[in-house]
Amino acid sequence: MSSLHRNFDIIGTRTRWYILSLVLILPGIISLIVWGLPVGIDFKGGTMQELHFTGTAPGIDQVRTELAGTKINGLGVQSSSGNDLIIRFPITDNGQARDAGNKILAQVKKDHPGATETSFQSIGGSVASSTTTKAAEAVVITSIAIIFFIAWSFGSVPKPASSWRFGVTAILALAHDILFMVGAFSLIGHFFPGVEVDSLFITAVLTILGFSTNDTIVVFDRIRENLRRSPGRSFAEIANSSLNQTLARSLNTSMTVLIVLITLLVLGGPSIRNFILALTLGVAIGTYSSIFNASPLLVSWQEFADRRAEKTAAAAKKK
Amino acid sequence: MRRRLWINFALILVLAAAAAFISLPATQSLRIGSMYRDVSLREGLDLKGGAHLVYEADTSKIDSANVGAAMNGVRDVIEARVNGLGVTEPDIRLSSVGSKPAIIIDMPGVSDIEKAKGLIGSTAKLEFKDATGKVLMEGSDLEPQGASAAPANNSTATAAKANSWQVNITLTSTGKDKFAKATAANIQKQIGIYLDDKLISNPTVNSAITDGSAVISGSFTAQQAADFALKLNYGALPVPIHLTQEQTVGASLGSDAIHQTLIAGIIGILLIFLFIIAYYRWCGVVATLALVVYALINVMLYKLLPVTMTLAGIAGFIISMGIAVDTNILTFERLKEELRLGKAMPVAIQEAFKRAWTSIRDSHVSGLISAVIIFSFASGPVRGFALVLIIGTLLSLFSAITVTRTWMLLIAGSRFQKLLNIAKA
Repeated sequence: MSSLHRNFDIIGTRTRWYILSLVLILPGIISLIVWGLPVGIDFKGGTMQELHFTGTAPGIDQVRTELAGTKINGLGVQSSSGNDLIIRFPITDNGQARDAGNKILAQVKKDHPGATETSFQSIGGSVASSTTTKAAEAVVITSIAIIFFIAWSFGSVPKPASSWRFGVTAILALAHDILFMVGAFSLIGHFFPGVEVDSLFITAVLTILGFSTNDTIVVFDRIRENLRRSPGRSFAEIANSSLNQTLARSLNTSMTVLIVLITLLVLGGPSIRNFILALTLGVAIGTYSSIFNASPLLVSWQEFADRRAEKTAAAAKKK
Repeated sequence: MRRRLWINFALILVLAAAAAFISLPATQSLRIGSMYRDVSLREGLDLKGGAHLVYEADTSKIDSANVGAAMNGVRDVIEARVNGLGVTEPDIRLSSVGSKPAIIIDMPGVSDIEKAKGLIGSTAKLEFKDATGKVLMEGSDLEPQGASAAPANNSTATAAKANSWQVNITLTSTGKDKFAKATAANIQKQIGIYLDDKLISNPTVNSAITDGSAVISGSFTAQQAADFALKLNYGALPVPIHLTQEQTVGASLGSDAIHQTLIAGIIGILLIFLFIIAYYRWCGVVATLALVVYALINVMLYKLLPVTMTLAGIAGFIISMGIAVDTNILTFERLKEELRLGKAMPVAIQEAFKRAWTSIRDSHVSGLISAVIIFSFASGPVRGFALVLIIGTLLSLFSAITVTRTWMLLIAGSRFQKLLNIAKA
């Protein structure tokens, strides 16, 4: 534990962390461009039917062949947990979807007596597009609310720092987290069908918005306190010691949350696995960004503003 | 000072005991004097099975100023129909899909989903028309609860066999007048009975009917007649609706997944306890006890409010635990610093809580912002998740500054004070 008493120079080496952030985000962005985002029926509409088999579920190809006779277009078969299979098809009209679902169930029962339908979900196109709008609105509103909250809460920050800078920097760190999560899901979703972006993913993103801000705020709060206590020190110095003072807390908190999330990921039921995966990735990247992005960005911005102020001051003098 | 700490300590113990009692799975109801309250844990779709249905309303034919009132009417009628099905704890909310008004219906535990869909989705517009198509009488002319199913002839056994059940209706006084006039005007002619513009039966009038009772016969089975009567009794929807989203979950999905997730969650929480005890020693033990109290109060609130529990809700509970652990970690890290500055234990504890407070408050508020926004935007299980998170965040503010603090200060003033020294750890 004594190692945590050491003073890490996080601010001084910040270029390195900016590059690392790029390295973390880039594969996801490339994957987004090349393969796109695997979007679930919550956002594009369609039907999903989960079937339970007595004993082990039959192979995916076998079921696909068996269902060829139903003549339903765009039918996809996926394995779920041990004895379950998930069937998807792009029918968005509810009545037609239920009819198709019944046809599938009847066909599967013929070949595998004892099969049952454990869940059936069909989402109309209008609901899907409304969900998409609402999700986007929720993310935007949360971000704006957080900027305002931080700007308000840090309104009393001593000069030369600016409270708006705290808010905007926190959101930049959040944008980094969201980009990473979305990119990671694009990448993982490409290789593991079934990992896709649904309502729960958006919920995870919003939760991480709260969680990661929480982390960032703790560091910012320390910066504010230290600015008041030692007005003589440079902003970079203060930011760095604030980071070090809160480092143990940030790591320990994330550790405890990650411990539970990983336990749930490994041992928990399959139906919320994607949700837990998104949360796990989000907590990890959120902790990283609140230490290695938020405060360093704040310092970069402060120094940029200082230099510009000096330049204008010098120019004014010349005149 | 210490007197007050002991009083707080006693209050916390009382609260913890009450929470523990209510949290017990066996505690299904509370009775205090004449007050009775059901405190069984509400289980959502994914735990108990059931249906989540979203209907879009077609309000194109009514004036835009009346849309709100019409939708409230839709909700009331659907509520009555769903209750008529015997669904316990349905959640029926007005919402919107794009610019169209919509209604969301959650029915955990509903067994016959197809029947429920048939009943809910039907507009149940009843009309009696003469041969020229003129409307003689409507559903609103029926007495409330004025429809009932009955066998057409007196013997139930032959009626069932012959599919000849009928629906008897009783009319209001205006309905009685209308029907008397209509039947008098149409003797030896046919009067068509339409439900949702579909001809159900087309009897020929033999003589004027003046007693305010009518019969709809249409070779129904007993079940069809009963369903038909149910539709008429709960009234017609002011505007037609159609199903646009459906999610049904069989009860069988439940038990395995829940068990697995619950056990994983409990293991995860135990690991947290181990971690904070290993890292913060006796302070960690105090925090663990405080967290147990926190968890119990959470579960108590889920049962009292109530919160509908889903798998996502369980995840929310676990994240709440993480938030509560964080408040403890924040203060312990502060405590270490204060102790390193050479402050005496009780002073250091007071200072640590005071200084950690702004961080704790601000970070909780940012968490609350996102939770409240999720809650207001979401539907279904996501809503439950957000509600759990809101409760957990608010409660964590309370538990960190009262429970942990009281206990630490009590220990700090006793001969066990040394145990709390984590500065050198």
